[in-house]
Amino acid sequence: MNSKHDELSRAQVERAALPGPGEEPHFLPHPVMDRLLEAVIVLGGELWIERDRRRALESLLQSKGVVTPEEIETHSESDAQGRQEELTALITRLLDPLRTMRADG
Amino acid sequence: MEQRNPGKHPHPPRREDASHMEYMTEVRNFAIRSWFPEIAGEVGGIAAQAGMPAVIDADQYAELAPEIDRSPAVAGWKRVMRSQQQLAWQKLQDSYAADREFWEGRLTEAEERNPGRLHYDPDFHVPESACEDIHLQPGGYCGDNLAGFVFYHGTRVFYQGDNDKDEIHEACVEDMRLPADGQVRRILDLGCSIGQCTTVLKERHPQAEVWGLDVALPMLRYAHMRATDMGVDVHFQQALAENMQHDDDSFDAVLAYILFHEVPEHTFEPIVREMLRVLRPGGTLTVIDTPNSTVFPSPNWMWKTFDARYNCEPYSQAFGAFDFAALLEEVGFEDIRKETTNTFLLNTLATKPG
Repeated sequence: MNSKHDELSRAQVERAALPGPGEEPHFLPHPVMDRLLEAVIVLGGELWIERDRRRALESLLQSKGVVTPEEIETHSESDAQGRQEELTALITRLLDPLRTMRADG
Repeated sequence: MEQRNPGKHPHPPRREDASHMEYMTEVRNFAIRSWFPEIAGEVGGIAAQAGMPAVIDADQYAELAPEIDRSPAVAGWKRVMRSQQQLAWQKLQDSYAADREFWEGRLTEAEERNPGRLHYDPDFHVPESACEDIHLQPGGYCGDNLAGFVFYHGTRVFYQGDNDKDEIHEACVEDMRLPADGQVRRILDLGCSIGQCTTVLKERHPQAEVWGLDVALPMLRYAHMRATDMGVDVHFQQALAENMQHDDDSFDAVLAYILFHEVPEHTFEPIVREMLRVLRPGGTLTVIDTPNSTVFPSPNWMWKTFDARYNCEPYSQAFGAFDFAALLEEVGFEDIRKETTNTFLLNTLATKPG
């Protein structure tokens, strides 16, 4: 039973070698690239938080009659699919440069 | 905005937390559903160029790994997967910690409102292996009183929106093997975490006494609060899976959902023996977990090794390589069957001899 284990390092099988406390691995050729990519993800999150709040605000303003549909010409809060597509498109714009990256750069 | 309300869990503390989780869910969707297929193609191409077969073992993957890791696409994918996970946890944890007294008060209030259903010993010793920052959650399951709240919202990102009403846990309960004689008086949800299977089990078997058992008290306290809020009468108990403190032959069915890949290999056999002990003759076992095999396609190896090391699943490789069905047979279970599911998980079913 479980003969494969006999061929592998016991320590490796029992517990994977995790990064040490406070140690952050880098996957890209230079640690700065990892940090930049993380910054892009953070930026995207902040952008979405703000955008989502602005949408809510516009929705409330309209519902209370503070602004009219003409004043917020694109408002369509009931359009869940469109909203979802907007978020997906945002992420695609942010990450497509990586998706299309190849070994030859 | 459609406030995400599964109806069985509280909202996250602030609207911006909900927005952030939604964003991270979409990042993960992108990385897994749009990006990974291309990564898999590249990794598979590297394996094919090296003359490797379609499925390879750990040693063969180890040969390929240096070249795979040099791929900029693979490196970028790993960075996004790890950062997404880290950032999601951190924001949630910070938000809950900012109003810690309120959230801890909710747990305590549920314990006062519904006493006698949360069982634990204040002197219980949590083993070191249960204190990992599992899945990169800071403090893991045991290191923060609010871990259950953070875990729930964080795993919503993991489930990519497919489990907002515990649909996956419902499917697990649906897939369980039950005793042939139809007698289901006591059921055990082993490694119950925040009790999502536990409450589904009670809803599905209202006549049964249902117990959720886990090593992590913060998760159990959340599970108890949630079940109390739902009005579902179940028991939660802090104990080791290898020492459950229940009588011999006292359960009709045991479910272990994604438990084994998170515990060290040396505990597999003691846990299986304990499950056999507490099941009554004719009682049934359902283990739902990652597939056990020594060979996988090269892209799966890439993801599995990444998860083990960089998503803090340190024990997952051991379970993956383990012949779990053979252990069940060796310990004394019978009628052992493996069933694939419509997820990446494998169901292993067994019965205690009557």
